[in-house]
Amino acid sequence: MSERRPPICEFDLLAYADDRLEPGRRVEVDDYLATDPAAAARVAAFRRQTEALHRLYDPVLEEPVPERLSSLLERPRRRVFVPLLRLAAVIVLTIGAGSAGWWLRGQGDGSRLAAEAFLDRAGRAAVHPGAGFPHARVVDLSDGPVEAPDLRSHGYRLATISRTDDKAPLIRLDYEGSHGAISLFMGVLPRERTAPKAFGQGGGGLWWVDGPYVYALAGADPNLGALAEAVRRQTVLSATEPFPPLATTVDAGNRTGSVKPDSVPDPGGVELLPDLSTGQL
Amino acid sequence: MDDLKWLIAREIPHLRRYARALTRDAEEADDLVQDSLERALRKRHLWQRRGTLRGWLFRMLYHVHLNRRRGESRRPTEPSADGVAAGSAPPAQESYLECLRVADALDRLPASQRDAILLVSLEGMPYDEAAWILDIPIGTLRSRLSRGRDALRRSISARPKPTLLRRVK
Repeated sequence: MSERRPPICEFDLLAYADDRLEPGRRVEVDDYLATDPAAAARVAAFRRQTEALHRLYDPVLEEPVPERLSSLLERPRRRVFVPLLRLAAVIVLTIGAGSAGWWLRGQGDGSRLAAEAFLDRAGRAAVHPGAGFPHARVVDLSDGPVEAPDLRSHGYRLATISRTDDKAPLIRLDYEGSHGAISLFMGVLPRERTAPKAFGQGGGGLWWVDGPYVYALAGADPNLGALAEAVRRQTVLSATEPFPPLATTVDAGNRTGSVKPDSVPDPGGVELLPDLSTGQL
Repeated sequence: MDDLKWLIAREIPHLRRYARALTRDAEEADDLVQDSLERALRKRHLWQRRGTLRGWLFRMLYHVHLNRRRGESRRPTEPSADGVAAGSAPPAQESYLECLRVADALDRLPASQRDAILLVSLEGMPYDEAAWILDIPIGTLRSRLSRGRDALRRSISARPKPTLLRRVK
């Protein structure tokens, strides 16, 4: 039998059953459970409880939302609160115009699928430029507390703002600069498809997922990493939860930690965006 | 629909699921969600973007739930399958019965333990967020989960196994 490592407590078993343990501890609990059938049985029972609850209640998720609930959110409001508009600015997805393909490479799980679906929509959606854009204030640098990511210090100026008419917000910002243009899309991933934190790069672009929000950056600029970091720093202010420094190990679960990036040649910012394309998300 | 409303709208199925599990009554669950949404819309300017929007909505729902529970007589102690995923056919009858036993055992737990277990196990809330939603210290949450899940386990294994249980291959 293997020697016992630091004592496994009640809460370790609980967190183990709930898949909330960090990987190192999980391995220790694995070892412990191998030596303690009673504890293993308890953990298995906890997991069966969770499965049973899901089997009982998950069908609720598939039910159509009753009209009396959905109508609450469709009732027109006279004015939209600025802090709420700010939320829209969080939802940032930057990709090079028409170059969604890079995004689709290199990731291997639900996060990628979500991204694919999203970008598929981004690619197909009709985008209406300029005037009439209901979120202009959100991203209009001249008017309001909510700024579009300001990339002027990197030589990029915001050129146009546009959005789709879809009920799911999809906002696009085009920047123009010395290395050409980059386009910025803002969107939210479907609830079930989101990853807590994820990063990736490839095909000349960088992307990251923060809860329901997707961020990505692509373009011909060699300093793409620095641009992405600038976008990230500015959007994180209104993010729904603190975003850990990208340079540090991604917490929790089975994701890999910080991985040396390889393909984006900017030393200033790119190391802050680890390439997790080889890792599980 | 502005974007916050859109974000709230996409949480409705999850709010409904938690409410359904809390109340085990489809109608009552939707009443609870409706009250919570109305409250959330009234107070949405208070949404501080600390924590997740989802956590904020769940916290609101739980608060409303507590108020309603206080104001009402206890729900019937005789558990039934009525509130469980009404309208959807159970995929496999025998394992579904087993699931109902979990639901019934859950119903016999103290409410504070049941609420915590549903939040973490069913809704997958992180411990810290669940503690915030229930407005309790995280240590309290952990011990409620631990005690509750052990009691559930004992309660289920203490009862005779239903003959319809799926056979082990």
